[in-house]
Amino acid sequence: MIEIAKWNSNRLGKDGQEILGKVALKGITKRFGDKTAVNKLDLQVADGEFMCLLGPSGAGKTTTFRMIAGVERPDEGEIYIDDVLVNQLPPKDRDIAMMFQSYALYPHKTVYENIAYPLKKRGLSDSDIKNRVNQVAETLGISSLLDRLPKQLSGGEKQRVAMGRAIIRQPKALLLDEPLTNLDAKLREQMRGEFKRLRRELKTTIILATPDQLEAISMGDRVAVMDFGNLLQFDSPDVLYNHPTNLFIAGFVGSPAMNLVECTLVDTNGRVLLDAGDFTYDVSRFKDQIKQQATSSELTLGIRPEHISMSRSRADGECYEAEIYVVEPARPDIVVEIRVGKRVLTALAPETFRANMGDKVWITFDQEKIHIFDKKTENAIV
Amino acid sequence: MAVVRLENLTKRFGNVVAVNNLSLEIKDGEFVSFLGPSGCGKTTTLRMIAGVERPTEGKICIDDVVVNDLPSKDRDIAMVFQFYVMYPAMKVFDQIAFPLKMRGASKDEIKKSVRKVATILGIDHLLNLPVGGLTMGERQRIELARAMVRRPKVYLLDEPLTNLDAKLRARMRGELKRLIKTLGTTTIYVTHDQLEAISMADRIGVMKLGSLQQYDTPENMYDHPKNLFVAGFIGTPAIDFVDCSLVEKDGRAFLDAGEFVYEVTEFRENIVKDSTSPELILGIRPEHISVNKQCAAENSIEAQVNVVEPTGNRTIVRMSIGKHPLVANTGVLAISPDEKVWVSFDRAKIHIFDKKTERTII
Repeated sequence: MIEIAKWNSNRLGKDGQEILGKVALKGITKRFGDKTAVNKLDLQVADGEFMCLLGPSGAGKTTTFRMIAGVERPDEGEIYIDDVLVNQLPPKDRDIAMMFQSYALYPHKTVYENIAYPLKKRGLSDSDIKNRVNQVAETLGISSLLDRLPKQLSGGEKQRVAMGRAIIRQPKALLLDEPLTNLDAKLREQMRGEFKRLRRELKTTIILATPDQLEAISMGDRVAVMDFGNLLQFDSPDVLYNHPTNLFIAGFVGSPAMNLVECTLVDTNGRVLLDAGDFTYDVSRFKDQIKQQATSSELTLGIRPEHISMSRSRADGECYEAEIYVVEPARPDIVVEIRVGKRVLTALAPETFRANMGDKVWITFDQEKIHIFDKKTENAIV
Repeated sequence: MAVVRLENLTKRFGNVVAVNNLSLEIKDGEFVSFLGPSGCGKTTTLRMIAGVERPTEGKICIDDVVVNDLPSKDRDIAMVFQFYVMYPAMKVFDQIAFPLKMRGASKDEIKKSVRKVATILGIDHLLNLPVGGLTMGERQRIELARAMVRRPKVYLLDEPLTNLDAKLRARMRGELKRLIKTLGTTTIYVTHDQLEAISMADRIGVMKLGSLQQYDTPENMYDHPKNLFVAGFIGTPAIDFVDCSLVEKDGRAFLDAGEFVYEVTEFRENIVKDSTSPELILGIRPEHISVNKQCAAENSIEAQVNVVEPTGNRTIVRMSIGKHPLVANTGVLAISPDEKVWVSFDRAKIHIFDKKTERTII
């Protein structure tokens, strides 16, 4: 674990003014031919916020980044950095640093030279440069690597050097484009924690793009979920996970994924049920919400794996008979796929759970944790 | 029947011992995973079983027949490697059907087998398309289908899910496990991903620098690792290790970790019997650490929260006890960085290792 030295307790610029890093996008649209890469994007990132831009490939994350950095012009909309309209400002005047997936380190320069480069370009004195580079290197735990060449570094080390080069100018905002994608699972897990620690020391506004939902929800203060150029929801990880506003987010955030079951709304003897074919679920208590917001009787029921309980004996209330389809004794939570009729649902079980393929169990859903989506609009109703 | 037995299997490349005196038996129909970091010898072992690499010493037996001198094609095995070649213009259906066609199976039989495997692997919608335009993930599944459609004695899989993205990988693990268990064929699966190994295999062989560290069920590997390496390799976030010394006082025994002291009186006898010195390492898995805002139990230790990572249904809490880092994996927890908390360890789940030999004592 790296020791973090105090980098900069107050982010003050040359004139003693505090460096703010608010980023606001208003109605940003970008088209490439007849493809709309980013569609009317409205986003406000607070000063010092660690914001994650989450979405699958093609969602528009990188295009959005490029527009904030100034290497791509929006077709419509405004970009403000600290309340200053920057659409016409070239990248070098925006004070935004961007870090790419491939690090793009200069292969023939040492780590020291790589990190010093942006300051050298600005014409700072050698002694000023030395001070700053040493400070940054210490913060990032790479002081011992200053004389090395990029090819002598591990993936994690290269990443830190790239970060050093990005933060040395104390930019208003740091844009990180999928920084952890090329790392193996163990290193990724370690780096997530380090990133978060680092960020508290840096106090810079950070916007990190990733297709990995775990990265986004574990690191971000808030997460903006994008798909096909549209912003779907912008909320804290907690709210995204527990109150996704649409089907896509519900299925995308959380692993193992939320179980999504298509059903039909049925009214029987005053009770309102969701008929999934293989089973029915009573939703009378949500009757009013459903009647108000559903556009048809085609609905999707959502329940997260950890909210399905399994037992060898039948419980009270709504309980369904299921067959163990496959058990994956992952830890700390065991993943169990169960078959109810023709459907296969995923549940999580504690480490003491033991069962074999084909065993019969009874399952119940946590009543407080049900989600209901409108099948056509895909919006959340409950 | 397909029992695979490795006896004193060794492979040297010049001075490098890639596989060192490996002996183990894989039962008929068993799904075994060879697990370890790169360079541990798992792929070399697989290649020797496949017949593409000759052992330097030792024997490989399939059903009591020593196959060392049998070429690959005569061993009745099917291999799926990470990188493979496909004729880009060939349709997916034909790609999968190829081995059956070679064998002279009937059109009907081919159609049935191919459809069945393709459906399970989620590629039945691609059967009429040429292989050329497909994604890595799709190609990987086609390759798996091609191996599965034959019914060899043994499947040899070398990291077959590597090129799939995280979500698809998670989904495929369950499907693949079910497919293999339903087919009932003896399977050897090489991976560096411990989660994959413990989720899928009946038994796992963990290797390090050519040597077998432990060969056991996922539950035993996880709950009863034989040494420090296995304990640290399996499980994510990784097990917490704390260097400590055994200290005895007033008839009670403690592990002195510098920043804190942990009572281990009930384990004292075993520790003294099996350790080579009082230098020990305490091991506790992140999910066996409870984090409380107040001092709850007697053995509670004060810690400072550094980073909080919500992961959906759980929370990873990175803390320090003085200078000692400690990672906990709790349920959903409302907690902030810089908070002071009290942690306690699940006594039934602690591990104690001999620092010098690195073997497990408790």
